[in-house]
Amino acid sequence: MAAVLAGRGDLRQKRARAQRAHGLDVGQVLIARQGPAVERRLDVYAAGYALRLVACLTEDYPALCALWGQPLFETFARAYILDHPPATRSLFDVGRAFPGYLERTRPPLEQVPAEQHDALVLPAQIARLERASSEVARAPGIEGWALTPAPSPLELLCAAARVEVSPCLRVLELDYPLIDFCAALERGESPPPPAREPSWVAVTRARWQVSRWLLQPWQARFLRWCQSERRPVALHDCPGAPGEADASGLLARLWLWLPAAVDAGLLRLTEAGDLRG
Amino acid sequence: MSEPTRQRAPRLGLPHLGLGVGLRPPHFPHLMRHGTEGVDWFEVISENYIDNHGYARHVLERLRAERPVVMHGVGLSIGSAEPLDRTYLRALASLAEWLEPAWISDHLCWTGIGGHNSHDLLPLPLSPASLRHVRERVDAVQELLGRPLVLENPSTYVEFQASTLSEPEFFHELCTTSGCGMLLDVNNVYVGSVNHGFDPEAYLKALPHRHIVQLHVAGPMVAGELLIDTHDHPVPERVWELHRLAQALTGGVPTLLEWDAEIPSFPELVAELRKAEPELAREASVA
Repeated sequence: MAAVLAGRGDLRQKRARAQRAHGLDVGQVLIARQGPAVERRLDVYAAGYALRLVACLTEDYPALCALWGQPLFETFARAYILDHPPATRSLFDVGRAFPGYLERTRPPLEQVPAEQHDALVLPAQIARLERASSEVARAPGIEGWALTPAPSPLELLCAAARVEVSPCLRVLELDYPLIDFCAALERGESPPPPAREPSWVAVTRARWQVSRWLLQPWQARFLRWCQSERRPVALHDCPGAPGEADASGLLARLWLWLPAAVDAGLLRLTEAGDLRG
Repeated sequence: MSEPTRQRAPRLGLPHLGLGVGLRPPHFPHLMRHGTEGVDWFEVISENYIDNHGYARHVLERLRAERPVVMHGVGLSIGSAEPLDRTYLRALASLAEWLEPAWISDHLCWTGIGGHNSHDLLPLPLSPASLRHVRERVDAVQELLGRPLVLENPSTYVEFQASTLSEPEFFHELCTTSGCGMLLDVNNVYVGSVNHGFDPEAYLKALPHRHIVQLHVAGPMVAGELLIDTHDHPVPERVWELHRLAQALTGGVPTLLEWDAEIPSFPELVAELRKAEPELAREASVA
């Protein structure tokens, strides 16, 4: 039955393959005492399997579905499901590899005219952003964090504060500025595709709402450094930007940006005194 | 765990929760804004809350303070030939520790094999051999969860040449020898009776009534000569008729309305659910 559900081809082909693999014909295993034949009944399971998983992907990738339209999205979704049949109990896992699948299966760019590159690259980029958003929606977040007093400007200036990034934070490096584009697609609009341009995006969650933030490259580097430390980090340990002799330039920029980053739910700040406790 | 049925308290001694609905995300805004009025209890899909630390869990945390909650799984795969997934069972137990559900249920089915999960509730041959197999696994699950497992009769579209037991016979043997409970999905009985041509009243009468702890009702879809268990329509009158019989046979058990596609507004859902109210009141007055 598993072979009939997840195999390639139409029901007749899948049935023949199952028969070769197991040495049993469907008629030797299943019975229909009345009404529709066994084949029609098996098709209920086979069709339901594909419909359920396509619906799951449609829900996980609304902007990509809006960009492509449902028929084209379904074509890719069905091909993906054949390549990546679900292996876990969670429907959340079904679409995990979809962005990578789209990247891997696109034609090599050197083989297609330059004016088609965006149409080939953009979908996987959108899928990366949408997958990150789904992960952020379910990950442990900052909602349970205790409210602690923010460090004083003097403590920030002296780099005495410590930074802890949200556990649900995702920092993405994309080839297109996608935040506004995807939001417009999700509202049912038809925005013009963005021009290719490197873009850093933070996806996080605050007060249970998932949000996407455009980052400067130095902000992205800083957040990734904080993530790599896997613990609250002291600002004075922060490495400087490439080409800078020390971190003083970065610290000055952080001094201006950190209050907004806290408000966005990207991170929290604690006083140096808290760290010693 | 082979206590005779006649010595069992009704519903395995589990509480009569009244009328409930399946908790679904489209209703989160209504529930958070207006509360839970009209519904006595909620059933949640266990897998949707395992490893989920987002808004859905936040909503559930709020609701469980107001109303009893039951965990209803779709991933146990109690009928599979593969070993039980201990990691999944530990996750289920951990969720139960946090949620403190009135009971934990799943389906008499299998969902995957060979590392592949179908995300469907697939039927199994009903025979003495499969009964032994399922009973051993039910014993192991109950041991791990430290409570009776409750299993639902699934909707089916095929039957097996190897089956020698009817579904009621299978459930009767399974429940009375393992001590597990039954979640009787009345809609699934109706769907099965149309698809396979059996008498649904005879089916209901042959069940282990004191092991039935809960009923499901839902609306199926007509697809030619078959009924498909889509949970996307109002409950048909024939299902309400069977529901009345099931309530009478069991002496009164909680009823839950399932609605998973084309989901109506919460007030409309509650209005559909309350159609079961007269039966509950009747059984309560008899008791």
